[in-house]
Amino acid sequence: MRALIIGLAVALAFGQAAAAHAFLDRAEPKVGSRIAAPPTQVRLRFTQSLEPTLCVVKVDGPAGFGGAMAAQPLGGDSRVLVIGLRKPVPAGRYVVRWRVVSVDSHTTAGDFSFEVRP
Amino acid sequence: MSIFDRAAPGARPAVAGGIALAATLPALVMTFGSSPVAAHGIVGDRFFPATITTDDPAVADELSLPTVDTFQTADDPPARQVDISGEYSKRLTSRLGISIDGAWTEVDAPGAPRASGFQNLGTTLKYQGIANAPHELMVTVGLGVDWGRTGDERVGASPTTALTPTLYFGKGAGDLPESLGWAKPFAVTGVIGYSVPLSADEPRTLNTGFAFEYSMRYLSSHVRDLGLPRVVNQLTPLVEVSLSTPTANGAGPTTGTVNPGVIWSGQHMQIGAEAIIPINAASGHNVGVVVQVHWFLDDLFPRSIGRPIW
Repeated sequence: MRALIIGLAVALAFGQAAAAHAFLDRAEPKVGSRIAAPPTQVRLRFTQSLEPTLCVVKVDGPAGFGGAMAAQPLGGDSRVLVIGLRKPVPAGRYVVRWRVVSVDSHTTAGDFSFEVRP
Repeated sequence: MSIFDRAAPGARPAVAGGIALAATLPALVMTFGSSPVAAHGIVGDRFFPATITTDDPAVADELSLPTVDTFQTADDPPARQVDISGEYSKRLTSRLGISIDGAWTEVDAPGAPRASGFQNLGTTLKYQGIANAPHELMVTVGLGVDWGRTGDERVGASPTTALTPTLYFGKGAGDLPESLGWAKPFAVTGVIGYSVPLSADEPRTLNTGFAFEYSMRYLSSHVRDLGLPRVVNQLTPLVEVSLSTPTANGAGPTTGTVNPGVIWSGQHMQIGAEAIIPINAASGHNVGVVVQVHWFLDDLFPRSIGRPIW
């Protein structure tokens, strides 16, 4: 036990700066929400800084949906990805699927949906 | 390691059955398809927190330190027992890991001098055979060893080494249909182990444990964001059940506890607390408590000690 504690103390003292797995913290439109106005973009905020070039976000929508653009980092905040939506954005259910890589190379993935109902 | 594992030492040199089981289980799980393995209990969208009373199926670089519990023993009159324990787990490869655990115990019995000392050293070798992301499923096999004569018999440490081949599993409910979205944050993890002491005089025991969890993080990031504070979205309420049943070389009732509690999971560590409720008089008296601090070494030191060796 004493060796364990000493080992941890040494590691904490000399280890590199820590990062971690990136989990979805907030989304706009909100996860599971129902909104009246068609959104122009999806914004995802994660719990860790990301490697934007290694992150993929897909948005699937109802028939007639114009599609989603590639995810872009929000200037000045490497934890946020912005995905522009091409018009038209008709009423219906949208599914957002994300797969991101945090700055320490940990990969996480997930999905959620929101609904547009004017 | 369960904090109650050490209550179930065993006896007998004939361990062929247990070893055969340990050798067969990896082959069984390797026959199934699997997904890449992430660390500290992440498979697909699912994050399994490190449970407190029962071991979880993850093979990870992590450190549980400290775990502190206190409860009244089943003795008559009951003694007050306090344990302070720790466990260090290290990935050898992305799927194979080893852990070492130890505990210091103090027993305060009425009318007797207070006794304290270390429990036996424990080691566990784990191999994660299945990590199925779409179904949020983990299956792991392991072999635990409780090393006899490394602890103090005055606090219950067994002089006999015991081997415990163990099956671990974790299953999230994220693959339920959308109409049952509220149930998707549910998950269950479990362990089934058979403890075989290397002595003819001590009982073999079947050790089982389950954890029923509801992930607020899963709810907010996959199902519905209720606008709750971030700290609430980082909670996992859970109920753990830990049981030990003597099966050979000595009869006795099943003993165990039901432990309701909650775990808060941050980016680099988690803190959990549970009540310890004995299931019968043979399991203890009154309600105890256990608190654990758990460190995600793969997140704290991703490029050094938090990586697999190979």
